[in-house]
Amino acid sequence: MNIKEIGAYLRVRGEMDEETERLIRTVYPIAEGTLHRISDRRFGLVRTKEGLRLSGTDVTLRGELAARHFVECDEVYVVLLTMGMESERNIKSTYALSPTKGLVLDACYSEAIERRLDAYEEEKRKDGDRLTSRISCGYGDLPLETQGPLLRLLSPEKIGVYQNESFMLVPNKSVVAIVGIKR
Amino acid sequence: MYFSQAISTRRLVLDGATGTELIKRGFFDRPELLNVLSPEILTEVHRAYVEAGSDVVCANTFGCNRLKADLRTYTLEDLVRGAIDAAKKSGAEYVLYDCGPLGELLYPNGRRTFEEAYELFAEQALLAEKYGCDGVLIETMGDLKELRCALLAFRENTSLPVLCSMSFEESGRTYLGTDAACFALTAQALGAAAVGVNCGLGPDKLEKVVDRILSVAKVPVLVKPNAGLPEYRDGSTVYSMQKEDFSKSVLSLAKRGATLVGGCCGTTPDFIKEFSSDVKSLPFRIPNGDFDGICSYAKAVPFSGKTKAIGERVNPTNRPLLKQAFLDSDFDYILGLCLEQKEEGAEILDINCGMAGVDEKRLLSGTVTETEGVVALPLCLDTGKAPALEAALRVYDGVALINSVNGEERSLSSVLPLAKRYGAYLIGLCLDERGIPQDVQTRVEIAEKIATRAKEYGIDKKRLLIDPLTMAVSVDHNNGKILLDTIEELKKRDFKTVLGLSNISYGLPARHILNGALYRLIKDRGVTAAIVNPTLKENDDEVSRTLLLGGDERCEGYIRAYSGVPAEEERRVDLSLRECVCKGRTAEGMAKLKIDLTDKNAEKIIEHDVIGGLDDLGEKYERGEVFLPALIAGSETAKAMLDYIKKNCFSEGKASRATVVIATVKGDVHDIGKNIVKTVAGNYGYRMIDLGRDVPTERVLAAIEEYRPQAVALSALMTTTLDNMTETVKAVKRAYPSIEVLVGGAVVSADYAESVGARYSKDAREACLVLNGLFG
Repeated sequence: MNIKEIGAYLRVRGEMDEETERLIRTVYPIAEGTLHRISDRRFGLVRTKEGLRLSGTDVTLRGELAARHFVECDEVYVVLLTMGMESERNIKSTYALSPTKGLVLDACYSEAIERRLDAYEEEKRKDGDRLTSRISCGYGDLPLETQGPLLRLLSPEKIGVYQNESFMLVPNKSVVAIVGIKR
Repeated sequence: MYFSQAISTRRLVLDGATGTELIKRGFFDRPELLNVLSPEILTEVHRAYVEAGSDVVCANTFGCNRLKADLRTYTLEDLVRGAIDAAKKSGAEYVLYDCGPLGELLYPNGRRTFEEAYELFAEQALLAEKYGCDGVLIETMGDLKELRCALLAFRENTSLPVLCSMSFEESGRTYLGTDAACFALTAQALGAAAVGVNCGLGPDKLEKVVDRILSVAKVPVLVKPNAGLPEYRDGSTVYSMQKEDFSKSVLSLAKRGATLVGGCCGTTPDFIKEFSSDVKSLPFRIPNGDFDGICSYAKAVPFSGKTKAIGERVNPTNRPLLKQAFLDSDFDYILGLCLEQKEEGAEILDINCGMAGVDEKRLLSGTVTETEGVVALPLCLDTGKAPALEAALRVYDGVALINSVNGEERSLSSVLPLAKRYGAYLIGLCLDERGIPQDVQTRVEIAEKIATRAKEYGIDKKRLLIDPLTMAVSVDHNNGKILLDTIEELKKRDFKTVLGLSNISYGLPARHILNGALYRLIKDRGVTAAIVNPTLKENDDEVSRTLLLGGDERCEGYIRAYSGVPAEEERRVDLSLRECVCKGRTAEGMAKLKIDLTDKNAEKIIEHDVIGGLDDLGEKYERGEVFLPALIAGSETAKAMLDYIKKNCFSEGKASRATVVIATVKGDVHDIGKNIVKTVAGNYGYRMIDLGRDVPTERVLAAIEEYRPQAVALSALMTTTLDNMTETVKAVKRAYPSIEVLVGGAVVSADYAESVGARYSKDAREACLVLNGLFG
């Protein structure tokens, strides 16, 4: 657990007060005990005028961020990680009994996603990949609209992830990330 | 032989994957277009399966719904007709309509309503029957709600037998949490012709799931596993399992009791050929699961063993706060009541929304939808109104308990058909046109009458729980004895029984003692379920027993023993009330409040201690001495105190400071900030109507019409949704110029707020200051 990061989600500035820390330690096990599901694929990158196209697809990563971030890469992993509908239920039920704990749990899940993605990357590194840091749609000039097409490459319904009409992921505690594989 | 006869008399081999075969032939995308463009290819695939030993093939209609199919050139009818014709030409003995998920979540997880989804399935149902399918396979479902919706649509619009199948993980649950046994119970209660599992896993990982289904199934069980787990290799999906291993595992599932077997992703005609003759030579039997009880999507509760506690608290009678919550659609409050009872040990929850001035139909089904997924306990739907009952039964994800039917003809003829249609269990009250009988004999006769009438509708006596009706002993000291004797008599006649307890002690002191004594007595008598306060403790109190067994005339002994039983022990608290709020100490604050509060000082406590404490806390927060969690914790303490004061000192409908409709704008699911404002402002005395997240403008406008608020508060966290906020603010301002609009959230600034004519607040604390400035 990275308690500082959870604090940041809760907009804690400076030194964390004891009460907040106690609350985080109380509810974190709920997030920790939730199983995540992953769907990922490895794609080659084709450099085109529009940007970086994922080979074998019509999905292109546009913008400067992607171009810069993956400059050393010919391949990427696109990974969808979800904390599942269980996370939605746990946040809702915790919130109903105690809004405080519900909000803290919400932040704990956000942090948990990052830790699980760290672990995912660690596995890949063990297999010998040299990786860039991960980015997601909506970062910098990488358009949020690209998330939908990326998602469709990952059979999201097989792990229970959907995108609604407003381009949002359900369960909310889900992330689509792109990690570069360095040459 | 009709397909429905075939599945209940012999083993049938289903087909394997269609998609895998099409990909092999070079068709990756929009496979349903082949139904019109190249049906001969489909026929070739189906025929290969028939030659491998499949008795049944599924038409290529998995994606033939209006949301998924490409309907730019051809109509849905074209696609369905093409698929079914192609399948029939293969020479298969039976052709099934293959119905897959819509690819969207149903409300409340997604936006698609149950009714809309129903229409999308009903459209397919009519076509499936029109073009001559022998049956339907609803498959690869992950959400029990969607499966139920599809099953209802096919059952209500066709006479085809419907096979139901979901995709499970090794845990025995779907990724949305549906339990395999609960799925089987629910689907067969709604008339599924077979239940089972497909896709997701290989057959080697399905033993536990299939066993769970078999343990409750009373209809044939089907399995269509994948050829192991998918892997991506060189840009394409491959399934690793070999046909020999697959066949061995499938055979083992068939021996356990699955009588309809085939394959899903990654399987080919070779796979089917490997096991088809072995499977067909196994003996046939329909499973006979012995489970007798009800379930939610995730939890099954058997009506055997010890007495089950049905939580009684979601009932607005004498609960002004719950009434208000129903009026405001404040489902958090209702959810809280449910979860609190669950923690206290309730195994089933009674849901009653009956009160004047509400649309009970909408409210009951709404409450069921909002709570069932989170609480996960089976529900007891408590209403006397058939339309409300039916609306709730329709959306309820599981096998429900209906509360209640009675011996009156009007009740029997309106409730029994619903219990039958939705496969529900049902509580029968021992009363009829003549009222509640005073004697054991007549009550038992009414029970028999209800059972007889239920049987005429095809409802087994097992599904009936008789309530002998608890009457107050203060009215007649024999009421306890009559109750207990009626229970004994019903037991002898093999009835399940249920009763509410608390009425027994009406008008007497120390009610929990008498209620607890009755609880012990009925548990000893093996009552199936009791509608109770789950915290009620059983006891062996002699004085109560004497009264309950009819030996205490006019309750004199009981009253002598218990009049003036001391109230709850007083607790010493060192902090002041104001400090309790400021430090977020709910337990201590409540203990102290209960001692300090009188009718005369209620206003002062609210102003000085509760609001004052919140102000102190707000200042600390601004100085950076405490952070958000502490701010909300204090707010919760304040809320607990305000709830208690309102309940005890004010009659209903005490005016709030102002009504505020609050929402996160369309496109935004980040609602932490909005929830904090809601909690904190709610505890400053504002009536907060929370519309949730990702809320389109039209819903905000509709809520303004419904609740007539003085202010609207909107939150946005992403730059991409700022435009939606602008749109909503402008629409509100245009239609209701006098309503104040507050905006906040990470991407919102004071300048932006000014530009759209709204008021800015940077956080919950400031939002309250703005509201106080306007309405305080």
